[in-house]
Amino acid sequence: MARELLKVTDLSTHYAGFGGSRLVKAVDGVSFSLEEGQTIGVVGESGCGKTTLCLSLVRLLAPGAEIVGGSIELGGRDILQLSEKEMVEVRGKEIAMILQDPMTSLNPVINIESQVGEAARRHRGLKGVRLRDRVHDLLESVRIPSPEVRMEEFPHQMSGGMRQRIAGAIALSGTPGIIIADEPTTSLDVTIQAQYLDLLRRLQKETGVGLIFVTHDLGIVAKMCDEVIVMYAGKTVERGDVRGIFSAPNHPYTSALIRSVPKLGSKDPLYRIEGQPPDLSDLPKGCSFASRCPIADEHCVSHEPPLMEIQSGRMAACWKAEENTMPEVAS
Amino acid sequence: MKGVGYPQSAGPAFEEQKTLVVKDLVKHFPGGRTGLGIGAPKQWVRAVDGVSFDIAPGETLGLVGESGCGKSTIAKLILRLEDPTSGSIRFQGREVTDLKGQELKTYRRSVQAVFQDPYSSLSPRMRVHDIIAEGLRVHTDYSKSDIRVRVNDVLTLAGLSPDVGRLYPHEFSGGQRQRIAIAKALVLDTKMLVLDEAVSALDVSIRAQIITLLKDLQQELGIAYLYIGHDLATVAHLANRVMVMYLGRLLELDESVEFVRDPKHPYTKALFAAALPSNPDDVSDTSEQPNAEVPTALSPPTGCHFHPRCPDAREHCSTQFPEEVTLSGGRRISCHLYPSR
Repeated sequence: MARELLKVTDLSTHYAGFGGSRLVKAVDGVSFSLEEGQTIGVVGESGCGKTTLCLSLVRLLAPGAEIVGGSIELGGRDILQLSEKEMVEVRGKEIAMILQDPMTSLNPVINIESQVGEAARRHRGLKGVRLRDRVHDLLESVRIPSPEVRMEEFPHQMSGGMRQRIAGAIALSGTPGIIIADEPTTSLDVTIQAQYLDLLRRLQKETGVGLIFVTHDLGIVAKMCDEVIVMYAGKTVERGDVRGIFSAPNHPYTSALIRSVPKLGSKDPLYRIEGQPPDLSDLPKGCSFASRCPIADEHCVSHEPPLMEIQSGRMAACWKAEENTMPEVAS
Repeated sequence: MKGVGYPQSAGPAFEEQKTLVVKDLVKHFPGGRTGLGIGAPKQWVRAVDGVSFDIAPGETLGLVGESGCGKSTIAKLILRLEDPTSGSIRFQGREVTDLKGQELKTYRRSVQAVFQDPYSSLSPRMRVHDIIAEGLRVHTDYSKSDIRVRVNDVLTLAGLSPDVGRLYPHEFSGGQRQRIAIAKALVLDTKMLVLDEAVSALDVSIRAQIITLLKDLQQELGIAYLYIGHDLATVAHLANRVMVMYLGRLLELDESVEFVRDPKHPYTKALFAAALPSNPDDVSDTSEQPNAEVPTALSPPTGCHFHPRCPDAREHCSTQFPEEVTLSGGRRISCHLYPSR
């Protein structure tokens, strides 16, 4: 079995919303573990807590947000117990991040060499020619043409796809064990996106880095991930092996998500999830998805289902997970 | 008009059956000015470079392409937010590129748009009722009560409750805002909607709601749609016919079922290869794809614009732009692999 890189247990992050009068449970009791060379997808819609989950993992939460419970074990210690100074040594060196928008995540007034080299210098102590060589190699590995010229340049001189590859080089710079990618291809064109995703997979094969891929796009999960965590209203509603979940989802929300995406070449009517996700500061008593769920009954509305093991390696938070029979799509 | 491409000698009868007929449309923007940005431009950005297509009533034409292919410029030209450099746009048989004043106003009653971002396309200072009623106030002499009735009608049509009229846009989620934008676009006697990435910004579960709403509305009202998008699966799902553009030019056009079954142009094939799988078992490796960088429209490659990225490029592809041909079955394609006779 591959080495375990990260173990998250029962993590909860809450925001004091509306001037502290209401508590927003953005992440509520999420657990998972990541192994070397593995890719975990975190999928869900806006406001399901997936970005808060990422920011919690590197402890970069906005003021007002607080990790209120759980643990994040990295290399045998709980990083929630570390001081801010110790945390600086974790970010970029052990866990790195690639953010959604390469237009804003790069510094416009610092050249590419300094930005890509920063983590290698800070965390790996490289300088001078060795640092320069490292930057050159990093740029080459993310397929930036003529790296020696590009290193002297600034972000505005590059296309969106190139900038996102630079962001990838920055993440790799400190040779981290884990990279968290938060919607890294949303702003890219489809052919560039495909190329970038393939690049990440290749780099993963070479370095054994563990990837956490946060996305709203099930296609990216299908293409990239080994395991998937489906989040809804701050909680994990289903977790398991990607192939298994795509072929036979156990949670009605997962099943509805998969069936609501147009498939190439199919004109069949799409499944529509009616209604809106619930307000995270005012969650219903029972299952959060019950009001939108086609198979929910009274028990679902009044009792919140725990995350249960349905079969080996598959967890789902649904009272009806074992009998999940979603209705046909009416046209 | 099943499976029929654009006939070269289209008579007036043909054009009147169509909602929109676009012929040899060209739009060049000045680019790369010298020094202070005054004086004659050094070069021109050929945003749209000789594109022809048509849309029938009740039909959806899908337009796919990557950034800079000219798809949003096409939308602006049809909406008359930009003036074309040359070419013709005929709406219900009438030329619209030279409309002015009252006639332009009348045209705008019939052709409306829904944009990508429902957060920036609705005025935050107006109530939903007023946002939707604006078109009626500008274009009609409806009384206050007539306006109220009509606004309530279109709100219902868009799947919203008439009560929401007194609320402001910030009180709605993205999907509901897009419904408001659709209601606004339908409030006049709309014959055609330009949908520019109209579902791209929405969450997956909401996207399916809006796609279904758009399909239902079209069936009910018989309006023509031009659906512009970058996601092949969504475009092919919504559209009867699909066209692909690249750096201002039309490369391929066919009925969407045929198009998906058998993409012919190397660029279309590249787009299909890059599309995300709907299932982990369909994952294909696209790492062998040639350079995916799109050249700029300011200095597009010579000959066929796609040749530097094309796996099938031959020598003359870099010097000569391929003539468009119509294959048997009606597919229009611009590629030297399909030479004109």
